[in-house]
Amino acid sequence: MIYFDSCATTLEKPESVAQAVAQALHTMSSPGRGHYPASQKAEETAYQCRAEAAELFHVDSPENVVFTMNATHGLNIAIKTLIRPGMHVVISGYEHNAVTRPLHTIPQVVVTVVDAPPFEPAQMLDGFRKALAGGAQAAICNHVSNVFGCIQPVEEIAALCREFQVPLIVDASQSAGILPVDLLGWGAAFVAMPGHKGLYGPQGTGLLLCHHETDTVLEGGTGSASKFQEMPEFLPDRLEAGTHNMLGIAGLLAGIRFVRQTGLNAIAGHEKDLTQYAASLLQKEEGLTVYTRPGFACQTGVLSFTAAGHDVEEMGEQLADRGIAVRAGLQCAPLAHRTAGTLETGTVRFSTSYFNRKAQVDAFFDSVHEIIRGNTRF
Amino acid sequence: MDHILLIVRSITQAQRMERTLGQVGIPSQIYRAPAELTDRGCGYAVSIQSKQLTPALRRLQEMGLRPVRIYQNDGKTYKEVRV
Repeated sequence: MIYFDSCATTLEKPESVAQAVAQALHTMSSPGRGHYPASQKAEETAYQCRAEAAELFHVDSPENVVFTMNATHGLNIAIKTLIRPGMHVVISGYEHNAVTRPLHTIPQVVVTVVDAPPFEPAQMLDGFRKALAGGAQAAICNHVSNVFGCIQPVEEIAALCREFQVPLIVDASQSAGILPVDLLGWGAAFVAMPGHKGLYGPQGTGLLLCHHETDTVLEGGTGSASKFQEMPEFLPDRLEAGTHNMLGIAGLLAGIRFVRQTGLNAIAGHEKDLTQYAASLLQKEEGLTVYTRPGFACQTGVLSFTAAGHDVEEMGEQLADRGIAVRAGLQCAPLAHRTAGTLETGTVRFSTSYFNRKAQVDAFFDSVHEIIRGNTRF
Repeated sequence: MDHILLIVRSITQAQRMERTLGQVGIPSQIYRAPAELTDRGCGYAVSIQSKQLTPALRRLQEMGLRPVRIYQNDGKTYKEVRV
């Protein structure tokens, strides 16, 4: 199988990740639960993962790096901490259901959605400026759209939020491990990210970077302040009730090390080159609408397209039948499709990782061509 | 042997203290805090040599770290140290 669904989960992982997971299975119990080697090894691994993540994402202390199950878990904590009933929130028009569904549960929240076409960061920024000036009390923005791969002007939006003294939540699901993520530089209240995408960790891992007080969404044992029924007031314990996913954390640490050793520029450059190449092939094919901009200035290794006369889900299935894995439909982000005008059709999404190769892009395009034309390219 | 226990609030804070002290050449070790020294239950302690208390506290303060309590142990009993 040729895998182009890394936006959902990177499937091919560095060998070091698999080794770390296997080793953790047999050697680690739970951190903060005992003074014996298996617990100490877990403690050491968990701390090292927090410390290396803190360095990579500019967090002031490893204690402010919280382990979560995924980005959705982290976003729920952040949103339910900051957003109270009746508050006015501004979000980008490219948010995932991981943002919009938690917001939907909070009564009487007024949500201003900043609509701007994909790849138009200036319009997005202008929309945030107007909404913040209009009295928004919190802001949420993803760094990169999971549908179109468009890079949002997060740094500038963060500067606006600081100017208006409005707390900001950044969803870095599609950027962590690919673009610079800078919690302190942005002055964001929270940044949420998965471990299983661009950080090459296992599924079931995520990080919430905290620069704000937090409320809990889950309560239980933490191995600290056990006499009290209230959750500890300090991080990371406050947000980490229950036994840690040490297999995941060990794998995530190995994934973060892979990213740091390889370098963000190398990873982002490789993915962008492949995706730009894919776009150039698809754009030559009659009947395809490819969502990109000349020069690929503000796009990562994610590409959406539709084919006239072809249902996107059927296209996804036909590609799968030919050994090509992509994601078709609404990609859990109906708001992004509404904003871009693709809500009725959805798109076929092609997304890359550092492990993809150019020949795989050729094979992908051959399959698309074959499906559309009913014959092969050559 | 005479030593100091810095009582801390969590294993993560204990680990951060251990590394912070190690960076300036102050050796330390992490232990589960003796039950009699914590009124909160399930705490951690960072142990250092008594003679290192002043430079250790200075370094921890520089890094924004503060122990919850400090105890001196003479091998038999713990005595709280007020700073």
